[in-house]
Amino acid sequence: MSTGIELASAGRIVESGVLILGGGAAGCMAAIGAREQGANTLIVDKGMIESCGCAGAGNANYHTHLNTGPDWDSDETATKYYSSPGPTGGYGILSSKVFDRAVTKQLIPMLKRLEGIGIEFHKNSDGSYRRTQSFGNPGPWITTMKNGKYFKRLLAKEVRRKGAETAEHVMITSLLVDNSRVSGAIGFNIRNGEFYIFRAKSVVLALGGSQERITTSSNGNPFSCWMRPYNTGSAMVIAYDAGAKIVDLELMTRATILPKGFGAPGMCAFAGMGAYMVNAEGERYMKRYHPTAERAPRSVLVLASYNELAEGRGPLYIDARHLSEDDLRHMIEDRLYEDCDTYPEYFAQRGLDLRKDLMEIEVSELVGGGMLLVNERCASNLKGLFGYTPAQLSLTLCGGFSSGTEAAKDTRKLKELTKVNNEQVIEEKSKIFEPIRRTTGYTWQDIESKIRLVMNFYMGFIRNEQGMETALHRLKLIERYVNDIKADNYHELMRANETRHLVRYCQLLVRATLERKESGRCFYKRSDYLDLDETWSNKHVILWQENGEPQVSAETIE
Amino acid sequence: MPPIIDEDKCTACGVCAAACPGDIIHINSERNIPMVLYPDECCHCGNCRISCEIDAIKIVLPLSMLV
Repeated sequence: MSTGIELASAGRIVESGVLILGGGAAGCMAAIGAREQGANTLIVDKGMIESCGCAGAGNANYHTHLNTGPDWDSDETATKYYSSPGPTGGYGILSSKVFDRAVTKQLIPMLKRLEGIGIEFHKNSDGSYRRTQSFGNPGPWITTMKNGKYFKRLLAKEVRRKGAETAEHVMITSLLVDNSRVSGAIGFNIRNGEFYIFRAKSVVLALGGSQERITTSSNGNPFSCWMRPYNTGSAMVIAYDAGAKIVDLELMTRATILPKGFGAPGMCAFAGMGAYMVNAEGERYMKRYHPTAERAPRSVLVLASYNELAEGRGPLYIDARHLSEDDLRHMIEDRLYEDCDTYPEYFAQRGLDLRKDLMEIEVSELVGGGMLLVNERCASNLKGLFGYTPAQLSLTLCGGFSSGTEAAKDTRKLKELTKVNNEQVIEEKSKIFEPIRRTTGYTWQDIESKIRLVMNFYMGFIRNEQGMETALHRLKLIERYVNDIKADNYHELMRANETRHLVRYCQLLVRATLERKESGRCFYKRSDYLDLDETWSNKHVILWQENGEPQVSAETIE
Repeated sequence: MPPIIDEDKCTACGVCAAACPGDIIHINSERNIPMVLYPDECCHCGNCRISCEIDAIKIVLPLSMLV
């Protein structure tokens, strides 16, 4: 193991009990969980924990059952709904056993915990939660934050109060592994270029489950998108490289409905709460696609809208003109504005007044999915590596909390930190900084835009095997050019490393999609397998590598 | 258009540069003022404006989002 290289001379070494990679909602809750177990805890993120992640500039909705009595409001229904093998698969549930322990049982206590740290929820005059129904949920499971714009800031305040440390403006580029045990991670400061070696007894992977900059919506801008554009698949790439099994890349790939030209969350919930989705003929087209019309699952809203546009019945619109002033005010000001702080500018600059105007909508870019394959204790196949991060805020808060708790418990098994593989550190350091040493080469934009040319063309809403095999071939070609990217400063170095991860992530996503030979469970269709195949109903596509060779299998997860 | 910072109001406290999740705002050390160095990478999330306590930031969406 020893190479004679003095590790301390390579960069700054930072040690912790639990190392949490990613400071978004899941990472912050993981830190709270780990601190409550008494672990020395460190969060690393490219941004600040007050503002990073998909909820960084606000989030309005918290989805949960409340156990108030009816069947639709129970723990059992929550687990059954989310783990049903239908179009809800995109949440990343893995199995009812994993989900029930790590998430369902945590959802209601988590709501109370959020209230305890200053997040307020809209309530009715009798003190009960004001609840609404969307997304094909079995009941009105959406509670809404009054001060959702400050959600992340309040959460970060609690993380700091609990005593977790942070290393901010640091990009993680790989996991450290010693003898099948994850022993830390490697990264660099995006502002000053300082190289970091993080050593830890256990690691929580929470770098984000929504990979962006893969495809674009109609505005052609990869940075104007549904989720945050600063996550390009690092979580999946570094886990795969370390030897972890990753899962559901294709099943968790998602899209949504956007206001035309504007990358922002909120439209599907808005429609589900009473607005109509209409086509150019003024028809409420969702009635033709689902018995609950606009309250259908997100995947149904997306594919129906895609179909309407493809068959020439666009443009499409949101029609909210029939709603009462009170409902409209609640839906716009209490929800949309809390979900995304710049909706008021969008409405003002477009001259839109939803009380009298139709609002044009479109189908968003496709957002890549995937997560670690974990057991009910949120543990991966690699010792010391944890992280259960289903998609959707309430679910990932609970998954994050469970992951941090379990990771902290695991640290008790180790008396001291595991060894660091010095060779791996030196090799990764060289890879990270190569673009800034180059005097000539391509810009990161030159190369990254070509990834999207391939993904937009071959990996859109309708795809097939031949196209995807072609995509794999082209992505491999692009990967060769990634080695010629030049960076003039540390910001560009960060983007260059994001591009390096993106081209790798896209190949993993194509491989996973090739394996699932059916349509109807994902946000895309396969033109070569148009029907839902029940033999796939409980199967998950798992990717990993052995001796550098990619492995794939479709398995049922216990 | 990226965020527009009102230089008359701005105190160069740096909170917007720290809060920007995309690292697009940096403090210019010569002029001691935050500058939007990478406007094409702005996701228009509003984090800079939420962070600014003196209301010195205005968000203007680019033409591509209006057509």
